Amino acid sequence: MLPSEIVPEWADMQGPILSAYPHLDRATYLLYHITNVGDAQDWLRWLVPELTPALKNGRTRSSSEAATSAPSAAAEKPPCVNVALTYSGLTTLCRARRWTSDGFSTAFTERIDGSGHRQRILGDTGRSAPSDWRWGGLHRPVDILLMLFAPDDAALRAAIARYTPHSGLELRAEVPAVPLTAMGGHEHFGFMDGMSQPILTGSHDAERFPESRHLTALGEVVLGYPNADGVVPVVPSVTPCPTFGRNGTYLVARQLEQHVGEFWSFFLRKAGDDATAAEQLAAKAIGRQRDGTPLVPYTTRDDNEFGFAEDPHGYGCPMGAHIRRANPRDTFDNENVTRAAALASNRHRILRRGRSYGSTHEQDPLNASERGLMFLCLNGDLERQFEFIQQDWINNSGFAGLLDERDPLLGDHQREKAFTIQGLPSPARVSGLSRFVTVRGAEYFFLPGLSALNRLVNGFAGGGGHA
Amino acid sequence: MARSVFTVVAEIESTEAIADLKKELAQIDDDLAGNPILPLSPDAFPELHFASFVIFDGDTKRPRLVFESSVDGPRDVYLRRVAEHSGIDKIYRYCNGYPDSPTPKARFDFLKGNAKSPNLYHVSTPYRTARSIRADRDIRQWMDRLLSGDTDLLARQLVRPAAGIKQYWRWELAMPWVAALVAVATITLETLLYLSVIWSSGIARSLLTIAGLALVLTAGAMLAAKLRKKPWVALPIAVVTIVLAAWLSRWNDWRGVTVWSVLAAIDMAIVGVLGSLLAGSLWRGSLPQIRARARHWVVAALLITCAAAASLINPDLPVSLWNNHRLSVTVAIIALVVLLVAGFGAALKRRRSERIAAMRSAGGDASVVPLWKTLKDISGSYTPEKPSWVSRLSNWRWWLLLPSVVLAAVLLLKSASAIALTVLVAMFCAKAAWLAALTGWPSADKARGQRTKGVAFVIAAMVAGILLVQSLFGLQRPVTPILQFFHLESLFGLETYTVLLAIAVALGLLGLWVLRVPTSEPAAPRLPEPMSPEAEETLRRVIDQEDHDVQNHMSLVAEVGPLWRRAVLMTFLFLLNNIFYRAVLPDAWRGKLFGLSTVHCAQWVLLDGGRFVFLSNYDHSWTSYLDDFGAHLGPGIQKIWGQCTGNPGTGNLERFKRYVRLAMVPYSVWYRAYPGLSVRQIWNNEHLRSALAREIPEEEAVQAVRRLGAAPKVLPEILHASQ
Repeated sequence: MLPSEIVPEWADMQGPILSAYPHLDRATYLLYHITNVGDAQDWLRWLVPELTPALKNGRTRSSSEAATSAPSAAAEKPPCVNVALTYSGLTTLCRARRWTSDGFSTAFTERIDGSGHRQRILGDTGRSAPSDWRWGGLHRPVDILLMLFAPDDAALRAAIARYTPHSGLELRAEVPAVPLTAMGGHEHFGFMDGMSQPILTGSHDAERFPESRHLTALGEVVLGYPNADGVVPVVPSVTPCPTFGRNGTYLVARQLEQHVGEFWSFFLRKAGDDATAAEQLAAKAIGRQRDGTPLVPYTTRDDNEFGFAEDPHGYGCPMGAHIRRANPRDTFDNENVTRAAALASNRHRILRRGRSYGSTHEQDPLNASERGLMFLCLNGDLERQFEFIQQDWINNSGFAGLLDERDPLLGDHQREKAFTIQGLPSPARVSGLSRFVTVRGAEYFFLPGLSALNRLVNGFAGGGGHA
Repeated sequence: MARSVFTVVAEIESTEAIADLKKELAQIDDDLAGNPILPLSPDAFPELHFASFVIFDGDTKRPRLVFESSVDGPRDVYLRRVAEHSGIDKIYRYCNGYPDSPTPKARFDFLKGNAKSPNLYHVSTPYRTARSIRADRDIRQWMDRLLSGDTDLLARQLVRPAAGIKQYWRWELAMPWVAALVAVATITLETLLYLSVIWSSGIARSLLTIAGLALVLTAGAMLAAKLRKKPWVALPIAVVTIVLAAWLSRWNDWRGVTVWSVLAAIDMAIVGVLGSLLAGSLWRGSLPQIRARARHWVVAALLITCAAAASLINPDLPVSLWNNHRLSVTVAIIALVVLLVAGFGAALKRRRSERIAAMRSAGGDASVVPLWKTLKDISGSYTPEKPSWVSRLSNWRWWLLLPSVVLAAVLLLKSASAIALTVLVAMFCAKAAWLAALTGWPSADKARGQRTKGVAFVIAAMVAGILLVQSLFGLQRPVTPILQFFHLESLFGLETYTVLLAIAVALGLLGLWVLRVPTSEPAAPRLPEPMSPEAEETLRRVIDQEDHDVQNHMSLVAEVGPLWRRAVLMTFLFLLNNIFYRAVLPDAWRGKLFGLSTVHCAQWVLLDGGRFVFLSNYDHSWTSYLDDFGAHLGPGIQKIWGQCTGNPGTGNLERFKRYVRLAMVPYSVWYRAYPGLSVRQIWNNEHLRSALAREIPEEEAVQAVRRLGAAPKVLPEILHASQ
């Protein structure tokens, strides 16, 4: 639990830290490159007071509460706006004031495609290589991510007209999200998505579910608070403001194209053209049914507190299934770690905040046009959280004692093309997997606290920064 | 075949030569198998597991070229074969002392002369040859291909009735509980049996004293391990132990103790501790659903065990019963044995038939037998590479344990001597300390706990000092009314003196050792010191070499402080290496290190001038490796790392990681004989093949075939994890 003397400054954090804005049906993501620093500063100066905080009055509110309590009239659902900066964006803004930054994560300063090693561990190779990206990385650098959320089409158009900059910034890419209602909580392959989210200590949800296995230290996501080890990690600084990073977090953005046609034709072929069997086979690869029911025994659809200890051999949910790789829960539990240390075991969690993009299945049943997931996640330590998950779990060919296979959904199946389904009387092996997801653009961003951003664009008049 | 792990440490003649040397080494690394200098491949060196060349060029000290090897068979045989390659002249001509016109003999002499045995090394696949590990892998690949082609199998996975699986699971997950109950029953029976033997020999009190002490000590150690967040618990435990020892020693009747009964008591203690560890780990590792069902059984088993233990400590309980109703007690014991055996047998049998039925239904009424036969054909004959009894018996380290037992027995037989008691108690102290160390106590996790523990151990050390002085110089014994009231005046008799001395000295020494571990940094955040451009470049190269494969290599160098600290460290490493890493780990545990089977081969070498080199071939990412170290082996690993200058402790893992990162050095050449295989998979393949070589019933075949999917967590691993 969060020590009682620490009060989370929700009003200073940006909205995505607490909420995915489920009450706002429409969203779009705009990626900019700064061409004129002065204009960019002017725009940001105007924009910062408009940004949506995690909580306006400092009262704790859960995302679900926000969804239910929000009035249905569109007029009473104001659009939400949030801004994140890449390292180059941050340095450009700093340089304009002759400031320097320090203490940012190496992954962030090196950028997402900064080294061969990083590309290797993230799986950004082959078709997903950074050289082919539409935005992000060293080839098509972006500086600012503008996220706009609105209740309906008209409101979103109005928000775009109102909040997008007129000069000084070049639009590198725009990724419009599919309306939430059109997806119904599913992603394009047809499975329920984003079911397991960490619950941050100090939030209202943490009070509601104090025993949850998803309880995660606030400092695991928001900088400036104690993390799972009980340590307050170093907060990145900008020369005149040593606490610049406080209430901020790192944001990973990855535009993942989903090859829905390939995905289903592969599983159909493997299941002998039997649609039901194909769906079951795909469910084995994911680890959940399409409606979100986990494949482990003793668990129902709405119970997300399950552990994989009840399925130690993967007979229900295969050892290498996507949900098991993305969050192994108690798969690696060491006997020395007591149950009370659930917080400590959530050292590799990410807060997911993405939405689907492209056309829906209804609009384009033949899968002719591109569709995919604008994957966004928040974490306090890029190396220990997002990169660790990618490297040690998703792309680890020896994960949980498996031999030569990767995540059936996300893995780049260049060498290993197989996926094992454990079962009785013997395991079965699905071979000939191809890459069902291609990275189209990616970057590491920093989602700064509101006062920090304010100081960055208005100058640090106050000097010392946050107390 | 036994493994040889060693390094050849050569002094590079000048810093200018390093650039040229690196070029030559790069040639090897670019084409490991085909280079003209030293071809490294399974064909060239079938016995080689891992090899690397690393240049350690510290800023002030002379640079060293370290050639690391892990090979099957004797070191010199391998070095002779290396010496046949004239190509190595190109490398070693940059090193001091290399002959000008080298012959194979001269080369061998040079290599042998510079070869260094590590101060401590770990091999996770002892007695496994590189050849057989590769053969296992090839066969496994055949099997995987077979599975991939089997569409029926796949279809069967999809039509399986869920109820059948649940039923099967229930069976399989409950299985360990049957094993645990059997273990508990065995312990109980053994206790009763020993009790009768001991009592009939008429020296019960003395032995009960020993057994009671042993139980209290080991229980105390376990309790302390469980309550590791409250280290002050160690003090009351120590006090209780001492008081108990004093109370028991009032009888002072050590005559007539037989070897048999001493051994019985020792064995009882060992079985008791290991049994309860096993049961505890099973309990924690089992499903909540199963746990709820098994709870009353466990409570019953615990009560029986407690009763047995109580009867040991309090001799009045069974005495009268035994003395007055010998016949009926004997009959009762026999009846109990028969009942238990028959009951468990019947339960197991019923469970087995249930299980086979569940298994068949869960598998869509398919049998594993046809597949099993095919796999058997693919696998062919197989002889598992295990330590033979000859090799185990010829391991002199095991024999070190014997004298202490023999000595104790002989002394006890000869006379009722305080020395004998001391030896025995010291043995139990050592065992308690060993168990405590295995369970991770005392831990060095938090700065605050560290201080409390420090104080506790300093007090213990002071007590030890006072007692030592008193016993050496025969100072007046303190007799106070309080002691008299509790009949504790004998506390200061000669026997208890020595007992107390042993306990106190052990605690004091442990305390001194624990105190050496640096405390972790304060909670206040502070920016890490900026890296120099050179350090950054080195780090970049280190990281760039990582994660091309499941296996990774790590080489790092650290400075060990003053000479005395070096001596302490060397002694510690020597003891640890010989008692644990060279005896218990390979011979008893087959290389499994506390369930953390991710390190293929690692060694610590103390170089001249206080440089301390660590070379490791490990699985998965560096981050997870360090997390394992920090989170699971933190306190233990700090005993070694704590001696190095600049070590921040594992309290703040990120800071510790940064420290390790900065100490790392990129390798120049790295060879691995079976890329892509993790330790867990090596063992998995081995288990599969040795199962295939045996005739086993259907349900065991199902468990074995499971290994084609993923290496399961096996019971010994769970047990080790709990230790």
